[in-house]
Amino acid sequence: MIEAALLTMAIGFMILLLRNSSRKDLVNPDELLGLFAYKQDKNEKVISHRREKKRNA
Amino acid sequence: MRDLMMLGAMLILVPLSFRNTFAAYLLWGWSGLIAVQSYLYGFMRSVPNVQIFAVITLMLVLLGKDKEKDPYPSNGTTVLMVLFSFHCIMAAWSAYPWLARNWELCSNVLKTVLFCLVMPMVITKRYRFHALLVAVVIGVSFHGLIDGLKFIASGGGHRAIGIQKLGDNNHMAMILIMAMPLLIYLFQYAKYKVAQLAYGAVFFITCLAIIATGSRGALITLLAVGAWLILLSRRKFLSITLASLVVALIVAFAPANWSERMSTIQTAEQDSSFMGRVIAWKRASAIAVEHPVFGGGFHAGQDPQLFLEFNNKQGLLGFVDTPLGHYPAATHSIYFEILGDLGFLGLILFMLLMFYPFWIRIQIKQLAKKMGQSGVWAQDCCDMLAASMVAFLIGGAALSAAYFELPYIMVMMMQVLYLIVKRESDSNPTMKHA
Repeated sequence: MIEAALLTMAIGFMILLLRNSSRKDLVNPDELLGLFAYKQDKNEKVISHRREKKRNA
Repeated sequence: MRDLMMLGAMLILVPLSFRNTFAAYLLWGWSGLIAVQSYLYGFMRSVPNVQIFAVITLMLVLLGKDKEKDPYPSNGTTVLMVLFSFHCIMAAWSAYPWLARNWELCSNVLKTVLFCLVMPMVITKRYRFHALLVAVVIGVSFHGLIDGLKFIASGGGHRAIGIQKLGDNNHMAMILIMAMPLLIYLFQYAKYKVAQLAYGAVFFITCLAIIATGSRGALITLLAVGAWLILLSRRKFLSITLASLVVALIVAFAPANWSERMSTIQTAEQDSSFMGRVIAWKRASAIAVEHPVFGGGFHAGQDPQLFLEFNNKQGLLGFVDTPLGHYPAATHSIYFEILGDLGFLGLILFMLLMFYPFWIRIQIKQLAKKMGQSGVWAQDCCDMLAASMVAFLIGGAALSAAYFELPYIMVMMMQVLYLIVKRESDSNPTMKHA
């Protein structure tokens, strides 16, 4: 049960990671990573993904 | 059921991989590390996922489908890997003809090297590097999550025994410790809270999985990695806090039999498990003395026929008193494994390859310092990659793990990190004089 659930999650995360990989309309290529995006600067604040999505929408 | 799910996943992932070389390459790396076949029991078990993504990647590379692809940059790691591969082929070719897994292991090494050689062409930007790091962590920590969650579910009673692809509990523990520094880096640089929480949770559960392995070598490796992080980190306070957290976790969650087993480290010389390793090291070094250039061939040290021939020879360890071996045990050390299998020349090449990242780390640090604030990520990242290598070089000293793919991937990732930082530094001339 645990194995099947984690396997589903691992596959899901890879799909999430690669979902945007061929989009060319993004200004910043870092945005391709979506949920897995990284901070440009270590001192940058960690933000909420949901809030940013709402703001962008 | 799992097989149907995997079939569905492949129906999504294969078209995704055709989108561009980068996507296919990530899937190649991920599928190799996650070793999904170990968790499947039906028709999908025989589907060669790794080969499928490897072929797609190589095809797209040859067709030049990647717009961000750079001409192949000359670098030391590529040269060392090519030399090491050539040596492996020669060793397999000149090996004792009856060795059961000689060409199988040789081809495994060559496949890993091929994956690594493609890396500088595909991983050309920071976002690609970060994605590769995430894919590697998903692939490796998946195994840790399984055992960590089972450990929690069983109230500390679960014992992790490893999987066929990675090896026994000790191998599993070493691989998981190698993933821990990468998780720390991802935690520090996650942009979104939800991702940061996930990396933190995975780190915590991986710690539990390491306890579940009951590996004594893991404790020594953890101490070595902790010491490395504390000594070389720019943020010593954070490193000490993290190390204390891991120790507190172990004390809080480890079952009583774990503490008893760890206490036997002090009496290793009386331990039959440890002495068995020394006997195997003697045998491997004796094979190397007889075949100094190319060694005996892959897994010569654990071949039954060679066991009879070399069991009473002392090799390089005649100064250690040991009884005669009773069976052809595995060599249990990456250094003696390479020595017996690939000879002294093979060991020199292997050591050069595995220690070269520490030299690259110094170069990355120098370059990143000149870049100021924009180079801090590279400094942190190379420290964590180096910590991962420390885990392999210390943990591997008592394990037959010389042909695992993860350390080779780490070596090339360090090189690729240097190339990315150098490119960033060259593209902004003002940085160079900052």
